[in-house]
Amino acid sequence: MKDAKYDDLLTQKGGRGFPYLVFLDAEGNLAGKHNLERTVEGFTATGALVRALADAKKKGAAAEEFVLKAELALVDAAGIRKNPKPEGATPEQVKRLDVALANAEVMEDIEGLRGQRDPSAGVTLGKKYAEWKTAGKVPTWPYSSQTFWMLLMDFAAADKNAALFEEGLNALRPKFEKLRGGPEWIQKKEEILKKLKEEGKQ
Amino acid sequence: MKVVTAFAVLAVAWSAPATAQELEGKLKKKLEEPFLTKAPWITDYDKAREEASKSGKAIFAYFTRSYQP
Repeated sequence: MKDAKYDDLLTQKGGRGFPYLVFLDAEGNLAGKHNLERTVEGFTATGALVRALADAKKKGAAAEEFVLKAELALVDAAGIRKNPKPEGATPEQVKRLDVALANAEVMEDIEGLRGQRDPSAGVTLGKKYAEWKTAGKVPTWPYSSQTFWMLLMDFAAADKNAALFEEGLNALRPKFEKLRGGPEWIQKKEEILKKLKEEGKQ
Repeated sequence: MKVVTAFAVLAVAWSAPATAQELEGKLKKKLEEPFLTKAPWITDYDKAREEASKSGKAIFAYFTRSYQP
């Protein structure tokens, strides 16, 4: 911004850090948070959700409206937990809500880790995520997904579970290969994986 | 989805004179990046809302700092 007139706009719109990408309506109301990849395709997909939400509101399609709000992070994890099966929701909508909840819960966990000094906190979360994975609960937003797999790998390393560690590494590899410092990170994890395999617990 | 693109750069440390020049340099460099020059970003929030109201488009707002992605 050119001046200090809107210095608190970020917090007004729900931002906690940078970068923060959101859709707003013409009145400046939050219409959706961007949590997908920061690519043209990702921005377009979020834009389509925002448009779908406006349409659902016009049609009075309450279940779809709630699901879309969850997908656009306009409802947090606690809000989704209160209403996991909106009235009139189809099985497909409930399934989408489950995915949205997984994403929102990881974001909630990340908030909980802020200022956390106990180094085992991440491993504890990783153990929970390993249980989620077994149950088929896996987040999809890039940031949630990355956190999910990294903490799951921390748990797998602590538990000396080479197979689980490798699964996490393989999930993150395509993204990290393209990141600055990513190949070095992968190499370090490969070394840990090698040690875990040598120790024999698969 | 048609959108109005609004770009907000918050250089909160500008009050520190020793780093102001450096931050301004980073901001200038950032504003020259292709993803910003190739789209008609609006840096005035009031103008972005006015434009959105006139055109019926949503606002795609990007909050960042001069040294952040």
